[in-house]
Amino acid sequence: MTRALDCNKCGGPVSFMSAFCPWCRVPLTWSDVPHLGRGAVIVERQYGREPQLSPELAKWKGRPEPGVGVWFDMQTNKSTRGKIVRPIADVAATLTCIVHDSGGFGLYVRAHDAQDAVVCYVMRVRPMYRSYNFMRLASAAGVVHLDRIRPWEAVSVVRPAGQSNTIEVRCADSIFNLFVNDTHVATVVDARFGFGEVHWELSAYDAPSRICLVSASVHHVA
Amino acid sequence: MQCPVCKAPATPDTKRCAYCRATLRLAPQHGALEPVFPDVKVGDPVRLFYFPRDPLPGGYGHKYDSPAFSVAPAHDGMMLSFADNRAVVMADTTVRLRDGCVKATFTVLEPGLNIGLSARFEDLERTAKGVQAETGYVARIEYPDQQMVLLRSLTYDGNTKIGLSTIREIKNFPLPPFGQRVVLELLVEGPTIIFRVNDRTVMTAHDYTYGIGCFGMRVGRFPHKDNTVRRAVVHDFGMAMVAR
Repeated sequence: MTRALDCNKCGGPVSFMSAFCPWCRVPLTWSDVPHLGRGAVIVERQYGREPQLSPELAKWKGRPEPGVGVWFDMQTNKSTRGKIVRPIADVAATLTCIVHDSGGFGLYVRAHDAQDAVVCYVMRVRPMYRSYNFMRLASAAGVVHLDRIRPWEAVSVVRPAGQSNTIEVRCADSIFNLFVNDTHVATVVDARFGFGEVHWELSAYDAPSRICLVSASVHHVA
Repeated sequence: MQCPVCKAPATPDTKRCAYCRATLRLAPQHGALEPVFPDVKVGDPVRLFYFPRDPLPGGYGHKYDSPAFSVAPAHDGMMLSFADNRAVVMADTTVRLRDGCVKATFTVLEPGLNIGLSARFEDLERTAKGVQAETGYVARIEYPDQQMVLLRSLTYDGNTKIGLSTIREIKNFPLPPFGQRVVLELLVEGPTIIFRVNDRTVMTAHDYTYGIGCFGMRVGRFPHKDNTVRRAVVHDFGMAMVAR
């Protein structure tokens, strides 16, 4: 957890924009949104270096290419999702993929399963359109509900289709820092969801797409 | 050793879980980690409803009639009548809070009902057709099962489907008998959730799945074979900030 969200007096955890520390009751003042750094590694996966497919990747019929990653042939309007780490509140998660065609990939943070449905934040990119977005999402079989926090926006730091792109979400309490290829693209404050798993997602939209899952990592927030 | 809240790996000297942010201490009597909760105090009132005078929040007003659920004025509050399996959230949507306290007084007249409070209820995707999904916490007591539960609630697909996950559950809790008033209170500050029944703290939990939303009441009827109407009266409802 970032030290910016610790009480200066007692060191207890506090929420961003809280009026006082719930532990020692000292009043708190907030001048700006704290910047979140990347801390110690929790999980690091290089999918192209793993000796065999995990059951999760095999289930989605991934084809490993040693030294590169795992390729998926995605059908139109279909997506696949896999878990990276157990539930965690404050996290810096990265995902690297290569997308051919018009597909995209995304990173779910604070993904909480409620029986058949999942609610989470998701950051997605579509390299063909050089675009990213950030949304709240509730999804179940055949049903998707979205609140767009940052609608699709084209930024030059997203590399075009065929090249690898890395997205990163750093979150602590209600603060989200979004990065594309190590460049900060947005900071969002949203208190809606606070705890959950980190997942990767690969999607094809209006046409089939080939997507390579290259690597994923999850760090604590510094 | 594990965090007692989220089951993440922890050591005996862990002061704060690196995964769920729960503050922990080693309990000397049984040698396991246990969560430590801050004191949550009720602060300034934000909204007060006295139902012999005021309308129910959530758009139900002084009178509401549908085949499954109806509202009618009673001499000391509002009578809620359930003819079918249905749960109703009566949230005051004018105030959206991260941390707050809600309190309501009910009288349950028949078995088969659950009465409770909701916190941090927030809609997701509001369209011309209405709210498509909703998330929040529910703390409720269930008659006649003598059970109380603290739940995470997700409704989706146009609020026609529900996904519930239990945070805490207490069985065989002695609830006041039918016809007696029950005062429920829910205090939420950061990840700390405290549920009180008749001024007695019955549940304290650490959960940060949902962080912001509206606060209100939630009353529901369990599925029953017969169509007998089940009734409860709600007398008052109040919402307050947390105090320093």
